[in-house]
Amino acid sequence: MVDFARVQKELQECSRDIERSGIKVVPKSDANLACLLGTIPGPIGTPYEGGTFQIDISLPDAYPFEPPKMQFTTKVWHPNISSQSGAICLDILKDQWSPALTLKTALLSVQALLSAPQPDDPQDAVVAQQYLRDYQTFVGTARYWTESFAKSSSIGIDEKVKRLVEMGFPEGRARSALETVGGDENLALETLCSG
Amino acid sequence: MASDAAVSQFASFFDRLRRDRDLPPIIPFIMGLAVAGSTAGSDLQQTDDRRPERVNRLVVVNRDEQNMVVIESGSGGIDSLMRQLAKDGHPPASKASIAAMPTVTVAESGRECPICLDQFEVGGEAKEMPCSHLFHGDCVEKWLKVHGTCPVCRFTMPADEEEEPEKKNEPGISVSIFIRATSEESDRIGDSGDSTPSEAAADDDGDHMQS
Repeated sequence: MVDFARVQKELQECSRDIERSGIKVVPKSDANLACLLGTIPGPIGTPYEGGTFQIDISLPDAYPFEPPKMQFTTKVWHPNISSQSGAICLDILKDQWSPALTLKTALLSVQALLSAPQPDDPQDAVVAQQYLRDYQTFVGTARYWTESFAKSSSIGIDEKVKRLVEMGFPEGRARSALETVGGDENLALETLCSG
Repeated sequence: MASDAAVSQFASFFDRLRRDRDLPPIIPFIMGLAVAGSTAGSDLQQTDDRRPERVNRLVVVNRDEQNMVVIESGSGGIDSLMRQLAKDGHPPASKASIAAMPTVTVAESGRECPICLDQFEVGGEAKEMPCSHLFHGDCVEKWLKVHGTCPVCRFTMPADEEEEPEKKNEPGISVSIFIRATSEESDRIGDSGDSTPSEAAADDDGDHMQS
């Protein structure tokens, strides 16, 4: 049974501190405190700056004696985060968990992970390889993903996708074409036509 | 020692497996847990002249990913195999060390138990770990029984020693991973042991289920 009294206290503490930390945790529904949604701002001075990242949190029955399960729902390009599933490779969410950690401190650690990628212990091998072999491209892609998926202004991308869909291209292909060419609609169109 | 190397190789392999694929999707697919007879003992490097030991074999099948992991270990029983699988976590604190923690009276107000986040009652009781951190007795005991470190500073509590002598006799562990050939791609993604898919298939004495 999840210690809901503790979860309540954590939520209160987190909302008291939101101005300073920027870290938000809210229950997905009032009925179930075991399913929560966390939000962290992208750290300044990183390709994630300016983005707001959402993290799905589910608490195991044994919480706080077992770590919370956390997964990005916002797409993010980072060696230790799966670009497909959002799964996070972070020791404190696994064997280094301690019950003295909280949802807020765990999210702070996730935020710190965004600032300090560990490509030698990757979750996403493709991203890690790019990070190690071609750092500039990595930064570009990470920034583009932040622009596209972690900003409210990423509606711009959706608009472009919509226009391509109206031209008759499937949404998935239109979106990935836009991603590969860095958001340029004309280049994306070329890619789609040639592919 | 060779067996130590094998164990650490296995541990790092398993760690990678756990990190990359996340364990929970795999664990539900433990389909067979077999204790094979002495014939399978010949697979393992026997470094001493004891008679061939019983071999524990754990077959983990992940149906989603169409692969399976065969983990073999020598003596020590399924318990020891499972303990090695969980090696990355810290062992529980020994019963004696848990019992030895002194009970102290909380004098100041406003301090809270780092585990349940409830405030200590002034004049109430708390358990003090050797590193001087205070917790509610129930809270910290529950944690130390699964993980023998201080939740605040990771001070390591003594663990039960009964497993130690066993370790010396470990003949090693072999791990093989197979992907079922559903496409013409690779049919094997990794192998840190010395058995081959055909050997493993031949060893399959029907005790564990085929996927």
